[in-house]
Parts: sequence; structure tokens; C-alpha cells
Amino acid sequence: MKIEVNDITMIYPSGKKALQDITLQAETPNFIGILGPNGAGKTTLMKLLIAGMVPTKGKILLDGKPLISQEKRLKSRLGYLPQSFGLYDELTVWQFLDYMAALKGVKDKNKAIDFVLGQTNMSELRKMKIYSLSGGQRQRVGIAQALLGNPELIILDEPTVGLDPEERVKFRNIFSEMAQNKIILLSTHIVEDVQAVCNRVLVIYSGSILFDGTPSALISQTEGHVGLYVSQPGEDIPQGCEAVSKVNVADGIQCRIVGDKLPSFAKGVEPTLEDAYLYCIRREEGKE
Amino acid sequence: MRLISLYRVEFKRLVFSKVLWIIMALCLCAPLLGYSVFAMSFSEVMSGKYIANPVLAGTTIGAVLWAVFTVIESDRLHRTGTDVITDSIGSPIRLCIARTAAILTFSMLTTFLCILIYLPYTADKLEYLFSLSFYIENFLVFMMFTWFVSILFAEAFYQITRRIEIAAMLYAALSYFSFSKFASDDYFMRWVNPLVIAYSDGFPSIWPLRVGVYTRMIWFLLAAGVWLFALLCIRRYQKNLVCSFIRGFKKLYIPVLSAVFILMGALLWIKQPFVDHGAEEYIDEGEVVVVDEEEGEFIEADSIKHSLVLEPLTGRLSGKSEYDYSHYTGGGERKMMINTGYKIASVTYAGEALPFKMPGDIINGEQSVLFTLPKGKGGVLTIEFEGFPAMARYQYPYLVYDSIDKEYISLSNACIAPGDLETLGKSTISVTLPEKLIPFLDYEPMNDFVDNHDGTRTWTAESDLTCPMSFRAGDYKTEKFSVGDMGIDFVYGKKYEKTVKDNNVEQAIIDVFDYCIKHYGKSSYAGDKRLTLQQISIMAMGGHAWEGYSEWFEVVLSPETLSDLRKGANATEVFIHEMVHQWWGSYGLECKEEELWSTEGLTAYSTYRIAKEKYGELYAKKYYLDIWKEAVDRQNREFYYRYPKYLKKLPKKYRATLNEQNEGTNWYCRMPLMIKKAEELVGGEEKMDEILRSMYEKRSEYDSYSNPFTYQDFLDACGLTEEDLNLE
Repeated sequence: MKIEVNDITMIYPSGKKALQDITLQAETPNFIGILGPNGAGKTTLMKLLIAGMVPTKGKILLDGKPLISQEKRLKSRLGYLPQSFGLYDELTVWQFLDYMAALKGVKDKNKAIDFVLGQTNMSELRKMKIYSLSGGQRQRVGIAQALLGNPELIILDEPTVGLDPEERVKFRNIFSEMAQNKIILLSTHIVEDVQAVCNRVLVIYSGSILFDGTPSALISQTEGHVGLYVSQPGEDIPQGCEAVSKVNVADGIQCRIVGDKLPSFAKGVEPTLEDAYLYCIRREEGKE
Repeated sequence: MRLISLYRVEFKRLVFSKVLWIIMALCLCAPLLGYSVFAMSFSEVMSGKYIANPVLAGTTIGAVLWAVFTVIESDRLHRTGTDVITDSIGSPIRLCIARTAAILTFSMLTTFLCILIYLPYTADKLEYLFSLSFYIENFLVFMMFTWFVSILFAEAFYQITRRIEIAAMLYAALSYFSFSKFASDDYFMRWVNPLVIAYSDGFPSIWPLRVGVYTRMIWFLLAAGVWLFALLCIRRYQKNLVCSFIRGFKKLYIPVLSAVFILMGALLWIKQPFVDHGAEEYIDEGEVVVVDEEEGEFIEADSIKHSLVLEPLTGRLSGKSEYDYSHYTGGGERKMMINTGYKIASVTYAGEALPFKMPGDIINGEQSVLFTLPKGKGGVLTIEFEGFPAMARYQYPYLVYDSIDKEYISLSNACIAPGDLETLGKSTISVTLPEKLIPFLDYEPMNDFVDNHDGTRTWTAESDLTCPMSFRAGDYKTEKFSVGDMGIDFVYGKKYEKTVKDNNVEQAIIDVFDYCIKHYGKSSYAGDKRLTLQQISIMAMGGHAWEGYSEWFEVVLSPETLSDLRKGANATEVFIHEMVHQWWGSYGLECKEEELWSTEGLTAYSTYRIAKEKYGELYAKKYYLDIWKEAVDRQNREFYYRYPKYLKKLPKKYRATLNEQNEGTNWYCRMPLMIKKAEELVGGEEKMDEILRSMYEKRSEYDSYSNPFTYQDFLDACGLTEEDLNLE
């Protein structure tokens, strides 16, 4: 499977420009992490990729053909977990997955449902009515339905929201294993997840792609722009820098900062993906 | 995914919906209201009370319930955000189609459950009058199809507006229209509350069912068309209504199908064959000049023959009328009148085709056929015609109409054959009918028939008219008996045989005739002549009487009426009333019709006296005197009755209605009450009986045209003045 996004712009009827001149390509196998602040255009991009919207300008191609004309084909290969979604509350977990499997035309439904229930650690909840599930459990049902039928393209919008850390780690490993022969797009705020499993990262800011490449390339861009120093309470962060973290230590507050030009008293350190992401965003904000 | 698979998936999902089961349960209970508060059809007939009313109540209430369910089900998908997931898997249009089809299926299953649940009770109540096919047909035609229409409209309104409250308002507005006065008398406009005025027990009436099928078909096509249109409006790609519609329009087969469905529905409505497309009010033919009367002339036909083939299953008639003008060579323009539902296949004269015109003018349910007979040449004029008898719009929606029903046929005048009012002569009529139907021509039995050995018989009889006035046929049984030397043929529907026997109706008739003979003298039917008393379908409301013939609509003999004579006098009164007309009426003493005087008053008074003798004074007071007094008091309080000069200022339609009401009160309530007052003034019942007897004995002195019996004659016979009997 190959997806090409060619120079697309998305403007909502309200006039809000959600995406501008976005171009990217993705081929199987690919595990793409999409990072960006709230309102950057991540969800819009995902909706465009599932043919839930039509771009104002530009084209999206699926295996070289316009996505809209390939809608049926796309949907038959797609697993999608939206950021917010509803479920049929009157059904049990099993009944809901059975309904979704039938909608997707999954062959050997029972086996497929058992498989995703196992993957999402829901086997014991199979007979529970959906209205009785907790927020995290509902999220897992959502993930389970997206994974049903072993789709070739999986688009996950904030999949680990509401999950405890242990589950979060488990899921990202599952996603990673599945990415062997698929395209997975994972939109998240948790940079660590992207760093752990994605082979490619997109940084979106104000509707534009700031970075498209491997996590290590993003990190390498940030080398020399991350520093550590110990400050005292009440001291400001040096101008032109942004704090990544502040940790109380014996002799004050250890600050980890990113910036184009680090202050002389800051000691340079190896950047992480989170540093790189923040630096990327900070740099763009600085331009504005 | 194939649509059929999607449908299965949606069906299976809905099975788990609690709301669906609640709606189904309520729908199953809804017919119960038809037995009491929601009686929309004539309840005095068993089929009306135990089939029509529950079905119609279930139909209307269920239609609303299904609409509510449909809108809720569609809205919650959007409201809860489930559509975000489902739309990523399949096309929202296909999902909507599958969901609607699944809801339709559940409504259909609910109909079947209704049929099963109410079957034992209905069969038990109707006993020998029960027809399983008729029972099932009612549920399927009215309930199921109306529910379908309701679901389609509800889904369409929601998809167009995508707002539950606006969709509900649109649905409510459409339903209000169906309940409004604009649609109250209209079979076609009432989509959610179908109009079934009455059903016949004794003479299975498929006319209301035929209209039901037709109107449901119209509304189903319209609703399906609107629903298909609404599919185009399903919001896609997060676009608004207009943009979604434009995108949806690209699936060209949907708008095309939508337009075809709507057009077919509209076409069926416009071309409906049941009611003519003429004026709503009766047209006084004196005001209508179609053919120059000076050119018209009376001509005498050597013979006239009408041959008819009736098809009770389809309700159609095909016929051939032959007017033999062999001795007439005057030629000239002729006009014949024929029912608007009939088409003329051909007109020939002396073996040659004769051009004819049908200008399309509709006068009281009849249309004219114009042609010119060639001069100097005699011959046989043959007119072949065929069609479905249409009801006159001015009678609409009353049930006095002509129809060819499964087991009951009632045709009159231009519904029987084309008639030329300016041709003189008797006619012979031959009618081919299913063998179990017994025909009556001009209120007399047809006696001669030929068995065609194909399940039909061809009956032949003579009529004194160029075109018979009345033709009736039904699955009848005739009882012949005598009261003194008066021969009576009591003709009633075979289905009522048990009712007639169980309730000893024959004895009841004898009692009435005994009373009248004892109090007023022998009827003119003593001796060789026989009197026909005939039960007719409920489709002709009330009762009527002519020379030697009295008829009552079937309610009079319905088990519901006869099983409890104490429940009210309406049907029983009709029963006695029409028999008494043989004394006070065209073949007894004919009264002049005046504002306060007609034979109806005398007949109503005699009916009261018979009821008093049979059931006692209290009963007669409650169901006759008190009812008359109440009606007269109401009339006395009526503004327009007290100040008739203001009546003229009212619109014609209201004036006519008020006049009709006043006439009814005067003849059926005020006048019998005045006779009752006269009875008290002349010295009691015996004295009044003597006066009435002497009036009846002098009947030969009066002539209905030149010298009818007047109110003044009555006052003179009693020795009273108008002021004496004033009730105000």
C-alpha cells in the first residue's frame, strides 16, 4: 500500500485554515508518529486520510489513484481509532466487536474477535455491556475495533488516552509488532511513545509539516541546542530558551533547556526526541 | 460490503436495542385503544368494531411510534459519535439504507405479531362472520404500509435536516395535515390515519381495502421518493446540506429513482379511479346546458338491450348496450350519460363505426357521450364500454356509491349502462355474475338465468326504463312468509343466517306488520302482490323504502345491534321505520314535503309507538321522546333557526349544511313530537290511532303529485290549529 499526499490544503467553512500545502508519502511498512501541539492539524490530516473529509486543495492518492475514487477499497483495508467516538452502549463488548467485524466483512469473525480481545486484554470483559465500562476500557474497545480484521492501514488518533502507563507500554509494543507489514499512523502527545516505536516522525505545527524524517534525524538536528544548568528559585529561564524539564536537586533546580543559542553557564547534553520536538516547535514559534 | 450483508448486520444490532422492544411492545398494545377510545370506523358492525378500529388505532399510533424510533436511532449515531467509526468502515448512505431496511423489517414483524396476537379474540368475537383473509389483509394493507410510510418519512426528514427537533416538527406537520379538516373526508390525503368509514359483515367489502391498497401505494411511493432524495442529503466529508447534496447527486441513479417514485405517486393520485374529478357539490342539472334542448327530441327505440359482465375480483365491468332504432330515421345529435369511470370502446350504428365525443364534462358523477345519428337511416346503435365505477365526488366520502365488490354489487343509473334520457322504451338487461350472487333489478328479484358452467350465471330481466335505475347482487338468502294475507319476501345476506335465526328476526317483522295492520289497516300488499324487505350492505347508510320495497343497511341485523336492543334505538328504529314506510310513504299515504311536514314524521311517530308497545314506556321515552325533545330544544336555541334572515348571509356551503340539519330535525324530531302533542290534545293514543287510521283509509283520495296529504290536512283531521302544536 502506498499513500501520497500531494500539496493539500484544508480550509474549514468557518475560514479556519487547518492544513497548508502538506506533502508526504507513506509505503508499507511504515510506523509514523505524528507530533504537534493542540490545533496543529493532526486530526484533520487523519480525517483526510480516512476519506472523512475532502481537501480544499491538493490530492491524496492511494496506490496512485485518487483516494475518493478508492474510498471503498480504502475502507476495506482501514482500521481507524478516532480521538473521540461513541459506541453502541446497549451491546456487550463481544456483540459490538461482532457488529464491527460484520461491518468490515471480516472472515472467521470469532477468531478475529478473540484475537483482538486478547491483544487488548479484554477477554474477561467480553460479556460486559459497553455502558458499564470505564473510560480506559472503552478506549480499549475502540482500539480493538480498529485492529479487527488485520487492516493494512491503521490510523490511531490519541490511542493511549485514558490508559494506565502499563497498558500504554503494552499497546505501543503491540502497535510496533503489527507495523511489520502495515502503515500505521499514530497521533499522540506522548513523545516517548513515538520515540519507542515509530520509524518515522512528522511534526506538524499550524497546519504545516515542520519535520518529516526519522526520530534520530530529528534528534540530530537538535544537537548542541540542549543544555542543563542549576538555577535558584525565582530565576527566569534565559531569553531565547525554553525549559524542557525542571527537577529539584540539592543545590537548587536543575533546568533542562532548548534554544538556538544556549547560555554559557548551561552544559550541553545529548538531546532526546522530546527535546528535539520542543526545539522544533520553539524554533517555529520564534520565527513567528 | 454488499448491501444485503449490511442489512443483516444492522438487523442483528437492532435486536439488542431495548428501545426497539419497547416500541414493538407499545405497537402491539396500540390496537387495544381501537376497541374503546380510538374508534375511527363504524363500530356497530362487527368487522368495524373488531377489525377496522383496532387495526386503524394500531396503524396511527404505531406509525408515530416507529417514526420516533427511526429518528432517535438515526440521531444517536450522530449524537454519540458512533458514526465517526462506522463511516470509516462503510458508506453512510449504504448504512442508512441498511438501517432503514432493518427498521422496516421490524415494523413488518410487529405487524405479523399483531395479526397473531389479536387473531383468537377477533375470530371468537366475529364467529361465523370472521374471514381470515380479510382480517390479515387489513393488517397488511393499513398497518404495515402506513408504518413503512411513516418510517421512510421520519428517516427522510432527519437526514435532510440532521436535527431531531426539526425532523420531529416536519413529521408532526405532515401528520397534522392528515388529521386536519382539509383531509378529514379524503381517502387520499389521510396518510397516517387511513379513512375506513365502515366495513360490511354480511357482504364482504373490498372497496375500502381497494382504496386502502391504492392510497397506501401512493404514499409509499411518495415517501420512498422523499427518502431517496434524503439519501442525497446525508452529510459526507463533513460538508453541509448543499455540498453533501451536490456530491450525492453524482450517484445519478438515486435522484432518478427518487423522481420516478415521486412522479409515480403523483400520477397515481391524479389518475385515481375511485372518485370522479368533478365538482364537490351537487350540480343542479337544470342549470347545466350541454346539448341544445331544442335540437333534442324524444325518440322511441324498438328494443333496448344491455349486456353486462361483472368482475367482482377486480371491481370492473364490461358491457354492451344496443338501442334498436330500426324504425327511426330522423337522425340528429344524441347525448348519453355514463359513469366517469367507464371508457367507451366503440360506438357503431347499423353496423358502421359512429364517431363520438366525450367532452369530459362531469355532472354528478356522470359524463356525457355525444354522437350524431345519420338521417334517413335506421339501425341498431351499439355502445361497448368498460371500466371501474367511480364514486361521484359530491357524494364523497359518504358510502352511497356504486361498486362491484367481491360479494356485493350495487350499481345505479349511468353506472349500469349508458342511458339516453330522451329515448323512450323498455330495456332488457342480461348480467353475468359469479353463481353465488343473487341479483335484483330495480328492487325486484331477477328470476331467469342460464348456467354458464364456468362458475358464472347469466341473468336476464326486463326493466320499465331505458336504463335500469338500480342493480344489486349479493350472496343472499330469501325467506318467504305471510302476515295475514300479506306476502313478504325477506332477503338478507347469507352470512347473517345464524343472526336472523338466533334473534327471531322473522317474528320481529311479523310483529311490526301486525301492529300497523291492527292500528292503520291493511297494507296495499295484501293479496297477490308481495313486499320485498331487503338487507343491503352498510356501504349504503341508513334505510330506504319504495313501492313494495323496503331496505335497511346491514347494521339493523348485525349481531351487535340485535344482541342488545336496550342499548339504543338507532339501528332498531331504522329496522322498524323502513317497514312502517309501507303505510306512510309513496305506496301508502304520501305526504307533501313541507318545512315541518313529511311522511318521515308520521313514520317516526309510529316507530315510537311500536317501540313503546314492544319495550315499554320508559324505553320509548328514553330513546325517542327525550331524544326528540333534546334535538328540538337545541334547534330552538340555534341562532340561525331563530333568525333565518341571517342565514342568507352565510356562505352557500354552510347554509346548505344548516338547512340540511334543520330539515332533518324538523322531519325526524320536531314533527313526531308535534304529533305526540296532538295525541295529548285529541285525547290520547287510541284517539290518535283512530285519526291515523282514518287518514290512511283515505289515501286513495290523495295523489303524491297533484294532491298530496298536507300538514293542514293533518291538523284538520285532528281538529287542531298550527298554534296548538307550536313547540317553541
